[in-house]
Amino acid sequence: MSLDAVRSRAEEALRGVYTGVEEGKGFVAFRVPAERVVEAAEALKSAGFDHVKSVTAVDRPKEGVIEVTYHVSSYSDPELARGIVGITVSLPRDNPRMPSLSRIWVSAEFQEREVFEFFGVVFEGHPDLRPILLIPPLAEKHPLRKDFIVKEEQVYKGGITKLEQPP
Amino acid sequence: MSTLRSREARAGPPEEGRLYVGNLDAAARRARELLLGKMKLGKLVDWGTAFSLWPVHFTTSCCGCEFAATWSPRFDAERYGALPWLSPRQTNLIVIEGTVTKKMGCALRLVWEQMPHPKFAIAMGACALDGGIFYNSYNIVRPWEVVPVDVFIPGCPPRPEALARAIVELQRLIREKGVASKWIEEGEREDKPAPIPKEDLCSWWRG
Amino acid sequence: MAGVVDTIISWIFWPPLFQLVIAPGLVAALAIVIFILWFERKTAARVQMRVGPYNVSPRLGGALQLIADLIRYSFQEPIIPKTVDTAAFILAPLAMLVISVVPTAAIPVSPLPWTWPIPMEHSLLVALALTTLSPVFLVAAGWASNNKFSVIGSTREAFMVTAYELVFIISLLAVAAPVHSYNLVEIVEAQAGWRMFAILNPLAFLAAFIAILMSTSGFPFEIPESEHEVVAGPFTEYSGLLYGIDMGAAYIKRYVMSVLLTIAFLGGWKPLDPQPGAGLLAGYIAPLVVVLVKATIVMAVMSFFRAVYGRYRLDQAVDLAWRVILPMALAGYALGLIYGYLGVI
Ligand code: SF4
Repeated sequence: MSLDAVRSRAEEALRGVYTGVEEGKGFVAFRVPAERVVEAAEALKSAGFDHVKSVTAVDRPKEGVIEVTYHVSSYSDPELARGIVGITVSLPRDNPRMPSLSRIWVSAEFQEREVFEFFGVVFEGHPDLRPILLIPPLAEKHPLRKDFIVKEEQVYKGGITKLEQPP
Repeated sequence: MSTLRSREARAGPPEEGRLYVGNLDAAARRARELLLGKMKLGKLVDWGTAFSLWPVHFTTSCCGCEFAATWSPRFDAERYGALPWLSPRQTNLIVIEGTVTKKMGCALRLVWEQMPHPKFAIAMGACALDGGIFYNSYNIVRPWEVVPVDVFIPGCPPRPEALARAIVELQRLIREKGVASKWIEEGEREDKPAPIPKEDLCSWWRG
Repeated sequence: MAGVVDTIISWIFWPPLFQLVIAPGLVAALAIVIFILWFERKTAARVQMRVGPYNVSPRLGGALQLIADLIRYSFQEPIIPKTVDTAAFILAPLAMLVISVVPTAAIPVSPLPWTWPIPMEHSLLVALALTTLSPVFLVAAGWASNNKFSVIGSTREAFMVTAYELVFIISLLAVAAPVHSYNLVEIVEAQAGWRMFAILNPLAFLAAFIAILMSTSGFPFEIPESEHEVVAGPFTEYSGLLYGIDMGAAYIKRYVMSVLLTIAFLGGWKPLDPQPGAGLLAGYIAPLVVVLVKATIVMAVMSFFRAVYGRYRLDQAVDLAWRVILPMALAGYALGLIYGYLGVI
C-alpha cells in the first residue's frame, strides 16, 4: 500500500526521535518532544518531505496541553505525495513555546502566525510573528482556545427581550 | 480613527508659495447657495441622484453572488440607472454584501470616506443586519456601527429582486425626503451622522 | 427691425465663434457625446440581453439617463485630496476639454469661403497638429493625482500615444497625396459620388479608424482606463464635476477625430453640393448637419465595439500598432501616392 511506503520512509527518518505513532486514513502522525522537533523536521526534510501542508493546534484544557501538528508532504517525490505525515508536539498550556519550523519549511510561516494569534503559541525564531487574520486587540485574547467564551444561543422564555437596535 | 479626520484633510486653502486656484471651499459654498437656495434646483438634484446610484464594487461575503445576479441579464438593475463602478471616487452608493469582519470593517470605512457626498449605503443579508449565522462570532462587526445605513435587506441571501427593491426604495427615500439636496445644502447629513466605531478597527493598518 | 435680426444672426453665425462654441464645437459635441454614451450603455445592454437604462424616463427609453448622471456628477462633492498638486489637478481636465475642442476651428463644414473660421490652405496639417495636444494634459492629470494607479494609467496613455499618433498622421496624409493639397475643402470636393476615400483607399481608412479607437481608449484598446487593472487610470482621484469633464474630454476628442475622419474619408458634406450663392441654411447649416450625422454614425460603430470586444493587453496593443497597423497605414499611403501619380482623382 502507498501509505506503508510513506510510513516506513518517515519512520526511518525519525528513528529514535519520536515517542508515539497515530494512524488515520492516508495519514500518520508521529509524536515528538518539543526539544527535538527541529531535529525531526530536518530529518524529514532530508528524507524528501519538502513542504508543510498545514499547521494546526488543538487545545486540551483538561490535560493542560496544546498540541501543535505540522502536516508535511512532498511535491518532488511522487511516492511520498500519496500520504501525509504529521509531527505532533505537546506544549504546556500556560506557557506554550516551541522553536519555529519556518526556517526549514518556508510554507509554514503564515500558518505559524495563524496558530500564534488563535492559540497563543509562541514560535521562537519566527522571522515575523504578528497577527495575520485578526486585529491586534482581538488576537491577544486567543479566540480559538477553549476558555474563550462566545455568546450562546438562547431559548425563548416568553416576554419581550430588548435587543440592540440599529440606529 | 485616522480616517475620521479626512474631511478636514481634504480641501484646505492652498499653501503659501504655490499657484493659487482660489478658495475652493468658499467658491463651492457660494455656488451651492446660489443654485439650491435661489434657483430652487433641489428637486432636480434629487431626481438626478436617485436615478444615478452607482454602487462601488465592495464584495465582502457570499451575498456578493446575489449582487452580481442583480446586474446580470435576468434581473438587470441597470434599468434603474445603477451602474457598478470600480473606483470609489466616482460612486455614491455602497452595498454591504453580508458579513463584515473586523479588518474588512476598516476597509469598509476607508471606502466610505473616499466616496464624495451625497452617498448612501444598503446593508444586504442577515449578516449585515445582526450577524446572521455568525451572530456570536468574535471577528465580525455590524455594518451599521461603521457606516450609516439607509436600507436594510433581510434574507440569507436576499433574492436579487429584494436588492432591486432596495434600490427603488432608496430612490423613493431620496426623492420624497429630498435627502440629496439637503445634504448638499447643509454640507453634511443631519439625520444620519456617520457613526464612530466602538473599536479601533484600523490599528493593524499602522502595523 | 429686419436689420437688427440679421446683425444678431450674423454675430451668432460668425464662423470662428460658431465653429468652436456651437457646432461642430462644444455644444454639438456635448449633445452628441451624451447621445453616444447613452447609446453605448444601451447597446451593451442589448447585446447582453438586458434592457439597459430605462426607468429614468420610460417613455423615451431611458434617454435622460446621461442627464441624470450629469446632474449627479455636477452636484457631488469634488474631493481634492491633500496629496495632489492642486493647481495642475484642477487645470489639467479643463485644459484637456478646451484643447480637444480646438481642432474644430480648422475643420471646414461647407465649401463656401465665408463659412471658414481660418484660411483653409493647410487645414489638414493644422487639425492634425491640434489633435495631438490633449494627451499631454491627460498625462499631466495622472501625474498631478499622485496616486499609483493614476501614474500607471498615464504611463500607459503615453505608450499608446507613441503607438497611434504616427499611424493617424500617415493614414490621413494618404488622403492628401492624390489631391495634391492639404486643403480639407479640396479633399472633400475630390470625393464626388461614390468616389469616397474610404472606398478608394480602405487600408488608410481602417488604419485611421483604429488609431482613433486607440487614441481615445475605446474598446478594444481601453488600456489606460482598464478598470480591472488600474482602477480608473488617470482619473482615479477625480470626483464630481472634474471627473465628468475628464470623461467628456475623452469622448469629445473621439468626436472631433470622427469629424476629421468624416471629412477626409467619408466625403464630408458630400451628397449636398452648396453653390456659391447659397444662403445661411443651404450653405452652412445643411452641410453641417450632414457632417454631424456622419460623424455620429462613425462614433456609434465605435461604441458598438464596446459590447462585442474584449480588451487588449498593453503590449499586445502596442505590438499590433507597430507591426500591423503602421505597415497598413504605410501601404495606404503608397496607394495614395499611386493614385496621385496616375491622376485617378
Ligand atoms: S446573509 Fe447569508 S448569504 Fe449573505 S453573507 Fe450572510 S451567510 Fe452569506
